[in-house]
Amino acid sequence: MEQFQPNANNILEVLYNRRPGYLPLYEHHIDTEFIEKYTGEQLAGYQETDPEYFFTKVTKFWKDNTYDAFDFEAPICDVYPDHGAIMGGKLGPIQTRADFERYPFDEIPSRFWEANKPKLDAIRKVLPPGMKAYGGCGYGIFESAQDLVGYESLCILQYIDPDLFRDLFIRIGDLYVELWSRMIREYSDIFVFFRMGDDLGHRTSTMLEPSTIINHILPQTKRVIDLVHQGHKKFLMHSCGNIFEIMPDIIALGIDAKHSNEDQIAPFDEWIKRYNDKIGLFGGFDVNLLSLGTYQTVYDQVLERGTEYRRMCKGYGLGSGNSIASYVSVDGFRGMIDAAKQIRANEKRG
Amino acid sequence: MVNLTNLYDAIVKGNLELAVSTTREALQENIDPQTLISDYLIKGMEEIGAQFEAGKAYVPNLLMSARAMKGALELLKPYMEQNKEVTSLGKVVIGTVKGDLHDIGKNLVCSMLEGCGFEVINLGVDVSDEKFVQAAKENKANIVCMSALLTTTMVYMKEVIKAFEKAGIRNDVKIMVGGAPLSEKFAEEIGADGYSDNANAAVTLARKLLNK
Repeated sequence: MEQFQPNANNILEVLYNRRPGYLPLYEHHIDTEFIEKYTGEQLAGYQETDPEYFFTKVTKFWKDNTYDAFDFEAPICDVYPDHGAIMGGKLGPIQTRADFERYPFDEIPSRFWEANKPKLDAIRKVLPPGMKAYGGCGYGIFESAQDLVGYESLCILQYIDPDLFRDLFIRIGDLYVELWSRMIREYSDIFVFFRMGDDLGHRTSTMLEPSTIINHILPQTKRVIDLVHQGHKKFLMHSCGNIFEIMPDIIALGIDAKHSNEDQIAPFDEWIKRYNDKIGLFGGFDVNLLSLGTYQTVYDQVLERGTEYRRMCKGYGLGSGNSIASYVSVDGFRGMIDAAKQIRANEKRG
Repeated sequence: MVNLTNLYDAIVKGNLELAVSTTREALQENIDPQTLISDYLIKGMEEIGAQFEAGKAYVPNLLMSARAMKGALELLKPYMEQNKEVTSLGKVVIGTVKGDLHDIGKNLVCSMLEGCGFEVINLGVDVSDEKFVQAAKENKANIVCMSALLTTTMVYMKEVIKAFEKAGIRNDVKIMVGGAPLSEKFAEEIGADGYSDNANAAVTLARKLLNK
């Protein structure tokens, strides 16, 4: 059987909203725990202690499963002092103007590069021929604000201290511009395209009022998108939840593609119907299907619907609607990969 | 003379200061606390809830309204304790199930339930079946709410329901479930009394289950 050779330019076609030569696979992320479960090899901890070994194993896993590119995000929130509010269970370190003024924003870039430069350099060394990464700086503008303040406090803050709310997003935007500028300048060679993930919706609507998102979050996102485009790269937006109300504004920022879909919010067909003519689309298959379906169920559905999505879309990359979390079943994942391979084979046969 | 419409408006608009000042004025004028709660505070929360369901209000609006309602209820507490008839709508024990550390959705439900007049005992995250049962017994809860964000942890809800059956108190409480991967069908399958897909719907469901 012919061995798969990754070709990052193939998946890049989706970002141009053009039909790639063969159906590309895409995931927002595949958990290390899942890769361990799949391969039987221990990887936890190696990202820090031996990044070259870690990324050799991780990229091999993605390549073996016929991906053109793999996900890597250098997580910004992880280097925030006293971070973690985004996971819930605690307030963020900024609750007042005084907290904001004394928060060590200036220290973040050095902490960020200290934590992530070894990983990015390791990726550069071990990328298999033809393969590249996608991602860049991890966490979105809104997610950073949630981590620094806490979601509920942030909701209230916009009303009780609108000036602080405004200044917070501007300061986060400034930080992002600084981090992203260097990422684009120094690591464009290892990324096929850049991506920001910022979950702006929940099941029934947006996490904040649309006007708040449009006035405070999207202008900061736009600064990053413009940097990416100035660096002659394409930009993918990943955002979970029901964000249809603000999608026109997100598209107007200049995004090249969008990922994330949940069946309980809208079938993937709806995303195709609304946006196929404007941007590339990734995903299609709800994580619940991959978690709970048998190999055969997943295979059959992905083969049927994936063939249809490929037919309907201009730029399309197949994958889960979100990520391959640790709890996704190996059988479900295999079912999806095998179905994607079959779609490619069917097309080749004509 | 106090304008009680202000109280209703304060809740709908999430204006804590106006809710507190109007409630204080109303109490000084000896207006029945139960009237304030039933005819203005709860009606205001119902209105903002209806707006949320219709897509005309958002989570921050719900939180601001719940905050205003809580502020007013703080002033009414002494009267509620004096007069047994002016009591909470019911006691709710709530938590995110074992193995799951997500709590944003669950906390929104807490805020809304409290704002709408329920007494809430928040057990936090990673809550075991034993802890749910124990808290329900100790607090004589009317409702138990369980939340889960993960496909793998939502199945634990069934274990919790079994624990209530085993403890012989399943019929003493109504059990509600919610969380991103859940559905009405799943709730039925595990034997829950109800499912809601957002914080406002959770309040409506809680009131329906207790006939309030």
